[in-house]
Amino acid sequence: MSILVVYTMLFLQAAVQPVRVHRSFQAVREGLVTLCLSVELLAEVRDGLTRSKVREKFPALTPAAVDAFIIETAASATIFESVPSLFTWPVDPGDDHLFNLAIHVQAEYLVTWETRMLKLPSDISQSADLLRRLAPKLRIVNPEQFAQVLRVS
Amino acid sequence: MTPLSLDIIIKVMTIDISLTPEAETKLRQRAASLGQDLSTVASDLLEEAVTRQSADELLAPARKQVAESGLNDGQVDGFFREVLKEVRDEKKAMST
Repeated sequence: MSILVVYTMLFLQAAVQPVRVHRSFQAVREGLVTLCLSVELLAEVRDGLTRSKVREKFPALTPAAVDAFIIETAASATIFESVPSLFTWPVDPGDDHLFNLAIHVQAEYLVTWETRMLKLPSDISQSADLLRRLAPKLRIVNPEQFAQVLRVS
Repeated sequence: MTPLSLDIIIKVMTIDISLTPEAETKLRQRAASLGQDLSTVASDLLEEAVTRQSADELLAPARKQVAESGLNDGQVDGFFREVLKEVRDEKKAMST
């Protein structure tokens, strides 16, 4: 079964616009892939969804709804309490915890909409080279490409 | 005046369930700590689990709000990217 890491933004979308990332999370629920999460990633998702500016814009996004979403997401995933920090990406160190999770679990897919991350496999920087060595199986794809992978397999 | 007669029929479903030894131990511990019998605690837990609202049910009003906000996908993404940046900036500030 493929091991999957999902970028933070996709969880935020899954909470409020699930249709846009439906296939990725459906595959997790159906047990077609193994979703890996770190405690740090879950905390980042929860923090993002419970910010006061989010509540001001979307008052119906209550803490109870967010907690239920976090609990259901966590229940469908394999959770890693601590993840070694082997990689840092100067372009956006905020993404480091996701890459480090992908390295730690030897993920086959990192699903993201972020163009800067999607370009990384063809990047010739030292960081990109290090990531290729630390996570040789990793493919960075967007949700549509991942849905295509699921259709083919 | 004819007295009002009210018959209440309570239907109770009885089922057999299998538990792992670990779950059974936890259930026994919980029952002991609450001072209740095993079947009452098990029944309460099951009742709570099946009647609890799912995340999809709880998130439905927020999803409707986002859909009716007039924001397009790009604007919603932009908003949440801004939120994520704020989360990360605060995390970075706290770690330095």
